[in-house]
Amino acid sequence: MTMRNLSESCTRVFRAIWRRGSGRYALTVLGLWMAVAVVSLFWTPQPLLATDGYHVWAAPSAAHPLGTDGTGADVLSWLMAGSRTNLVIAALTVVCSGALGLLLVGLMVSRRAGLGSVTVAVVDALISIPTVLIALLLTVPFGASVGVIVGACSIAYGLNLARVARPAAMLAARSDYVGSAFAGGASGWYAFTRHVVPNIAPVLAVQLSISAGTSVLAEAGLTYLGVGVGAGVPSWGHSLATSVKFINVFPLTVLWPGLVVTLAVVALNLLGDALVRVGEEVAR
Amino acid sequence: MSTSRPSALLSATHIEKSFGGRRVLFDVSAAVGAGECLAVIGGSGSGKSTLTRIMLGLETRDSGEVTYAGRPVVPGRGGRIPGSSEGFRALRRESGLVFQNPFASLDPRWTVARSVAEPLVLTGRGPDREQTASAVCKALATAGLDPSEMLERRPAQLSGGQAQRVAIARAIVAEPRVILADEPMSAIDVTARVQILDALNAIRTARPDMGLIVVSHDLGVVQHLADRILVLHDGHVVESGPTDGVLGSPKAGYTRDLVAAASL
Repeated sequence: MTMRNLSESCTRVFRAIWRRGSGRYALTVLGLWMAVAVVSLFWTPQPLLATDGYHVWAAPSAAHPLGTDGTGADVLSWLMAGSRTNLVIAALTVVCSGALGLLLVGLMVSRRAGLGSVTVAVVDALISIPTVLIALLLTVPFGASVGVIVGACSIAYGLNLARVARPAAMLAARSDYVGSAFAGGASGWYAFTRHVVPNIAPVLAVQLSISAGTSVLAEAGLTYLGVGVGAGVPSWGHSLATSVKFINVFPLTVLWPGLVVTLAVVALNLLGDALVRVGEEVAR
Repeated sequence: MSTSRPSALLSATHIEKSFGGRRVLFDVSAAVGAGECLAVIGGSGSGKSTLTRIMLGLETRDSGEVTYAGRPVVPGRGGRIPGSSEGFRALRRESGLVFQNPFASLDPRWTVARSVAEPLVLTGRGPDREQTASAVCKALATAGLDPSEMLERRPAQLSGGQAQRVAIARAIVAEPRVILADEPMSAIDVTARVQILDALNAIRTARPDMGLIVVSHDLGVVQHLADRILVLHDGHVVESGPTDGVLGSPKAGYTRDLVAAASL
């Protein structure tokens, strides 16, 4: 596929998603998220390390549009900077869990005797380990970091992706059109990349969008448990973790990061749905 | 019983095959020559599809020998190309397949143009876009389809007869020396069968040196296409010979039953 064809395909998909109300919402929220992440690299309303001891837990004002937290730091500035961390976590989780999931799917539908059934058994055994436990295990040697969150989410969601995508992948891999391609001299790699992966694309789109959304939730949960991002690293989970203890007294400081997380997760899930619908339209 | 001949393009001799301890082929031999159409007939579970898949190197055999243009066909480990014999690689390059269910044999996400062009891509004969497009149009026309109407359609936009003819076009686009059609008409309605028969006959006229193996239980189809017939029953060859001879004066009781059932 040439760059021009790729560009035309992307534009066509973008327009098809935009035509749907849910797709418009998803693209708008994701666009804003990315724009804020880029802007926060150069500008935030207040410096992140600036604290105002006289105005802790302050209500929204002109100087602090979303108020301040318990240290007097500007909530909006931390949410803006946090959007970078969460964007990186969501993007890396999609890439890594997608790569791991596809690798496992490839092994599961392999024609090599025994390889497929062994991989299925291994995936079934590993899939029972919760994400939190994987994160705790990774924290022991590596310490709390973005890498640990991405690693834990990628392993857990990659296994899940492989398990969910396997039936559709098996149907494609054992189909007559793949048999015909093999008869014509196609390699396993060719059959997998040209026939199997495109035919499981709707399942991948849904699972990866769910993985991206769940990674945002996982970051918040793991950071709250102390195995997420390191102290002082801005993230939405960090903003939630530092204010959730005071939810009864200062509910607004929890509302903002909670709202941002919810909007982002809903947008990612709706994007997955929209991608499936667009894929079905293309197949018709 | 053997039907292999010295001039055979593709031949299988003394083939034996078991699946999970159950033997499905017993010392079976078959051959197809250049320009010849061999029909393999028999009831369900007689082993006809297994035999033809073994002949094309799509299935491994327990014992026996397959040769293509005089060269042994030995697949690599697990039926793959790496480690295979030159005869196996040549057969893969120079053979085409038509399956029973046309919709299952076409990738639902691919256009007709892309599906038909795939063998050219796989055999490295489609680097030039114009040459590929020309070969695809020629193959579609030979299969009795209008290329201008078909190229951008997807399988869901085709009728059963059209889809099977697209599958036939894909099988012939790389100009194979041998084609296997496995029950090509059993999933097609009666009116479309004539179109498929016409398409297969047109291919034989266009490619007089091509070998064609048709697996079928429809004796009417076989009568119109085949030069020779091989009758399989429970994994054994019960009769073989020229079409007129086998269908006109069958010697084996099983063949007589088949012919009698077809004339009901």
